[in-house]
Formats: sequence, structure tokens, C-alpha cells
Amino acid sequence: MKTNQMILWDQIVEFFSKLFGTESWPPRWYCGRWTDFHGWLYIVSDLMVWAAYMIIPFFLIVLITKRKGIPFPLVFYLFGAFILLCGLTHLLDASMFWWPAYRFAGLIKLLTGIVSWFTVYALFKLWPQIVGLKTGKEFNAEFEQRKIAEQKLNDYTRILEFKNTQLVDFCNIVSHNLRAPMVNIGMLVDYLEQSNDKAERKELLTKIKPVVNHLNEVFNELVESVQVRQDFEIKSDKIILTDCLNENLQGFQSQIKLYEAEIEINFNDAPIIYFPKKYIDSIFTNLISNSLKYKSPDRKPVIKIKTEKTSSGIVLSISDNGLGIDMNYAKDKLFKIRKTFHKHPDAKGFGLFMTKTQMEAMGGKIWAESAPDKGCTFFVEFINQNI
Amino acid sequence: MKTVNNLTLVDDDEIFVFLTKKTIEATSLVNLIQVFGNGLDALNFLKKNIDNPDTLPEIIFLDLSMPIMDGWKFLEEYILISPKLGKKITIYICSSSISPDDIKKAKAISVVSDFIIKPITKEKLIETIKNL
Repeated sequence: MKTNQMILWDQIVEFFSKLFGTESWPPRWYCGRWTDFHGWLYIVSDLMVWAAYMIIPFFLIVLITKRKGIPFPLVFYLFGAFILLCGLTHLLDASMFWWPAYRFAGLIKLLTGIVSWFTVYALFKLWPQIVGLKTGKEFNAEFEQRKIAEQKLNDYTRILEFKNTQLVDFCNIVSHNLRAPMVNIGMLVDYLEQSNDKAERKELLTKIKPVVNHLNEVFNELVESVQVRQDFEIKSDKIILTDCLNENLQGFQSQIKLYEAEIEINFNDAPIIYFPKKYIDSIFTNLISNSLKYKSPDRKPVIKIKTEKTSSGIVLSISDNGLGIDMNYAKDKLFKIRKTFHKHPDAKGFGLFMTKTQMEAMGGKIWAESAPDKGCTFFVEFINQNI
Repeated sequence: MKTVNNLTLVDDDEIFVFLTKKTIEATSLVNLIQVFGNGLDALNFLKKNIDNPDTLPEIIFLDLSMPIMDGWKFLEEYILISPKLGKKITIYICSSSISPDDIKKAKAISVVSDFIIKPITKEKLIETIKNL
């Protein structure tokens, strides 16, 4: 061909000045022997490739603009550009059948080649990061692990908070309930030292004994409550509630007769629980004795004892029609040691404190509802009952 | 020396009341010592004598931990009736508690003059009456 004889610079000048020129070549239909079938196969295939290559970058661009945080957006742009250019080369290939702009087509091929190699370069540079990238599956697995860890952490926090509350309660008990009798003993001893009067000394001496007894009592209560909290070895027993309750009611027979108390029992929903026998005895004794102790002077006591299955376990409730408690006042104090709410010689403020301690030691709960002069209902929830 | 006509103890601890009465008597600064075993009894007395300044106490020594109505609840109720009382009553909390929480909480209550940690000594008592 003639062009071979031109020097390179002239070739380049001619190339760009006649970039869209087609005069040097016949349209492809007339270059060689094309059957209709063969030609259109070429054309349609090229157009199909072109159309698809127009759409793919569109998706890529929308993806990186719509979704924040897609890694390596540059690679996506480069892929988009080179696919678009590839598509353009196919469109030009198809158009050659009528418009043989070989120079322009060549330029587009060059551009495509350059952009493709930039993409290769970018991929090469980013390769270690791309390979190291976590897949969605890996992310999910890690997320699951983190969720489990977080749940564990939450559990620990809750237990710690609970332990801390117990510790604060214990400190308050020591700083108040144990200190009160000690203050009294101290004062009594001071007076004894100062007094010369025989009768007075005798009177003071008689007062020491009850204070020491009281101190002893509070001390023993504290020890008992600490022992319950420390007793991790205690095992749950299978308790047939009807039998257990009847056994405990034995101790109240004379009171029940005296007050003409009516006891309604319904354990149909949950006749059996798993709990330390020792604790369930203490819970029945405490709650029933409270219902009898704080009965209304105007009504015969009616005590309803029943169980109910819940999603988390079994709830035992003991309700009475007695004096009741003003829960607005009592709600923070009801289960605290040495808190009493009625003028009763036997009110000591230890039973509910102990019951709560036992329930919490077993992971259960106790709470109450009440209205003055209507009665009281205590709820005790036992967990882990699906044995 | 200034004397007090009526000093009221609100406390359920009989031994403490017995001994504190003795201490108060030894100062000879108080004419009448009145005792209530819980906050509700004391509150009812104040309500009943709201218009009788002569029968109302000048000082109340208030225990915190009591049955029926504790010291905190008493203070809550007292704040409500105090504007109607015909007399200025000085309230000291007098508790065996050494819990910093209790002390902080007590000092934050406007009608509480001070927090006395039991026991109440003769010296403390004289000082308290002097400061009235």
C-alpha cells in the first residue's frame, strides 16, 4: 500500500486530520464476499455486545453512588470506562458495513487499550487488599460472634450490677442494723461506768441482755443470708406442690382454725416444680404466716395459692384479703431486712428479706402487689423448669 | 442558758430512747421529752396540734429506720404541713446509720438541720440546744 512509503509524522498528521474520513476504504459489505447471513450475524452480534456493554457500566455507577461504603470505587469507575469503550469498539465494528471510519475506530481501540491497562494496573496495585477483603459470609460470621460476645458482656454487667446492689444492701445492713445495737451497748456501758447508784446500775444491767440478744439475732440473720448467697452447691429437688404445701400448712393448723381461715389451692397448671426443698418450705412458711399475721380484723382470712406456667418458668402466687400494704410507700422497702409495715409484735422484717435472698440465689424473682385494706399478693417466679 | 420547752424523740428503739432521755434529763435544759415510736404517730400529733404552738416541740430528733412510717417518709409529709405549723421546729436526723448515702440524702432536705450519728452525747446535746 502507498501509506507504507510515507514518513511516520505525515502518517500521524493524515490520521488525525482525516479522523472521520472514509474515502480510503470501501464499506465492509463490499470488502470481500459477505453473504447477508454472515454480514448480519456480524452486525447483530456486535450490536448485542455494544448494548450490553452500555448497560453494565450504568449498573456499576448506580451501585457505587447509591450504596455508601463500597470498597475500591476507583476500580469500579475503571471497569465502567473500559466496558463502555469496549462496547463502542463493537458499535464501530458494526457500523463499518456502511461507514468505514477505520481511523476513528482505531483511535477508540487505542483508548480502550489504555483504559484497560489502567484497570489492570489498578487491580495489580489493589490486589492484596481486594484478596484480604472479608466476604459477606465472613462479615456475618464475625457479626454473629460479636453479638454473642456482646450478649455475654450484657449478662455479666447485669450480674455485676445485681451483685453490687446486694453489696450496697449488705453495707447498709452492717452500717445500720448491726451498728444500732452496738451503739446501745456502748451507751449502756458508759452509763454503768459513771453511775454510783445501785438501783440505777441494776436497771442498766437488765437492759444489756436484750440488746445483746438483739445483736445476736441480727448477726445470725446476716450470716444466714450470706450462707444462702454462698451456697452454690444447693440442688433442686422435685417438689410435688400439693404435698409440700400440706406439710407446711400443718404448722399453721391451730391458727387456721382460730381465724376460720379459708385456703384455696390450685396447682393444676403446674403441679410440680424443681427447687431446693429447704427454700420452698421457707417460702411457703413465710408467705402463709404473713397472710395470717396481717389479716384484716374485719374479715375472715381467705388465702389463695396457685401456680401458673409462663414463658420463662412457673409463677407461684399467694394472695390474701388482709391488711395490705401501701405499695407507694413500701415498694423499695418491702424485701429489705428489718423493714416492717404493721404494728404487730411479731413483725421483724426478716421473712421477706430471706425469701427474696433465697429466690435470687436460685435466679428466680419475687414481687408483690397490694392495696391497703384489700390484701396482698406475692408472686414467686421459678426459672429453668423445663427439665 | 437557754432552755427547751418540748423536745421530741421519734424513734422505735426503746433502749436508745431510754438512754437518750437520761442524757437529756442530765442537762436540765429540757422541760418535756416526748416520744413517738414511728413517723406516723409523730406526724399525727403535729397535725392535731397544728394551731397549738405551745404544745408543739422546738426540736425533733428523728430516727430514719422505723416501722409503719420511716424518717424519710415523715420528712416528706412534714414538708407539706410545715408552712401551716404555728412554730418553727428544728429537726435533727438521729440515726445509727453511718452510710454516706444516707447522710448526703439527709443533708439535701431543706427542713433537716443536721445529721447526728448515734449516740447523742451530753456535749452534742448542749451544743445543739445552744445553736437553736
